[in-house]
Amino acid sequence: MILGKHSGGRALSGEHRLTVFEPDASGRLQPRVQPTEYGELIQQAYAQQREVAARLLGRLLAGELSPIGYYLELERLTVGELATRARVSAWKVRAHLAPRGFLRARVETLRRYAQVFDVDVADFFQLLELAEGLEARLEPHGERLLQRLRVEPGPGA
Amino acid sequence: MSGLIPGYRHEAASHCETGSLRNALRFAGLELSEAMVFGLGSGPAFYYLFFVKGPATLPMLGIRNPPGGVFQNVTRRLGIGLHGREHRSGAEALDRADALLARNVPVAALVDMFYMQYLPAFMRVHAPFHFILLVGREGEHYWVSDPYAEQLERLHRDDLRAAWQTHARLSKDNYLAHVGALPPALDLRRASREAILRTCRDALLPRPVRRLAFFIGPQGMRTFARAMRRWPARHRGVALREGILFHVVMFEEQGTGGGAFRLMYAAFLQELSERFGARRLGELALQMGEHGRAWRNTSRKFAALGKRIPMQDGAYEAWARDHRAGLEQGLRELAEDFLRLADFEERFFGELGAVAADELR
Repeated sequence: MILGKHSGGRALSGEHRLTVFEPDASGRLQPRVQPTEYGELIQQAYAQQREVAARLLGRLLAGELSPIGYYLELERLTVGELATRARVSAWKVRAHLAPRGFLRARVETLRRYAQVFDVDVADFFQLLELAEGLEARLEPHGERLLQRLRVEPGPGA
Repeated sequence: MSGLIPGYRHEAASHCETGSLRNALRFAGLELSEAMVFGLGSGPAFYYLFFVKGPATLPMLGIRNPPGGVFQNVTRRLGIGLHGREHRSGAEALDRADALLARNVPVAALVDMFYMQYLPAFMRVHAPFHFILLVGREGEHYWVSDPYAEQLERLHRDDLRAAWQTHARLSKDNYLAHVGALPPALDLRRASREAILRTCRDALLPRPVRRLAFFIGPQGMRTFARAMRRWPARHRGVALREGILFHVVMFEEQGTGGGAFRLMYAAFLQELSERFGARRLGELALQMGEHGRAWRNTSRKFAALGKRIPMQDGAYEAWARDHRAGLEQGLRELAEDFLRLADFEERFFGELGAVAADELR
């Protein structure tokens, strides 16, 4: 996985605008695109998600859970959901959540997990920390088996 | 924008299914508002899905008819051909989409929002019921007309394949659809009457069925209200906080147009009233508008209450010692709100059916 600014990740920020029906001057309800009134809640949710990611990373590094366990909890999926989506039996998924079980996972199974989590298989095996000012650009390649990554100085660096 | 279907015009909308269909119909030559599409599709509904756990541990709610219902109802009622089916594999669906795009036909696809790279992170959840229109191809990328985006977006072929073949429960994998030719004449009055009567029939089930279908329509809203009072006893911490806040997302943020689609339905009735000179429908549209705003205020109360619960599980017990009574009181008030909303819908849909049968004859 990549820590830092990169194109494949979901930036936990950004304004949200949506179309809502509001009355115009004549009282007719009309669709209008406007910023959400719940921006503060969304920012809180992002903050909470960052906190969850940091806590899970700590557990991953401490060997308490496997990369599959990390992403499962990060994306708030259940074992059943992951099993259905990846077409892997639930007991196998449960085994793969622990580092020891993860060692026995097949590459094809990892590719399926990667697709569900929207990451590359390589993200299960490395932790790439980008220094300040650097940005990584990911390009889809080889059905998530091969990670093609280009690291460059970001704008203004 | 190379590869884009010539003449296609993208416009954002409140909801993905109604917005996608409106944009597709406009391209086919039929100009309808999103509210009209929603109404003709018999959109409003309420289901308390006590047997389906939502992303935040509390049971899911349905506040509109099931995905795909609007597409089917609108095209059937207006006599427009809808060519939609699930393909056996992602590769077959891609081939089909390419063939249609080569003929300049916008293609509706049912996808998982999680893979829509251009959406804000908090919207990218595993929900495989999101409608988009594919409106062109440029190399390995597709032009996507997503009603939740203000401009056309690009999506890589691999993301698209992952998004429409999720193998998730209840998902329609590799589903593609496109609208066919328009009929020579459209009977909007008849279609509207049929749509309204169907909405009312679904909301107000026959009396003997109501007891069994305690989770549908106004009866479902009452069941939901009763369940709400039990939340603090059954849930705690972050799960409770997020469960409460998720209702705000569901009613206001997930493409409803505000007030759990009720404001959009009010706009539909308003439009019918003006188009057909139906005075009583106009009065009912005003009432539905008020109802939508009341629902929106209830959502604000959900937000205010949920925000008070701490964001860390560890802090909950200490917080609950001082604030549990307030939390329970807040939920009791919200339950009362919901009982009022249910009473309104029970009365309203009964009256609406009679008025539509009379004024849209």
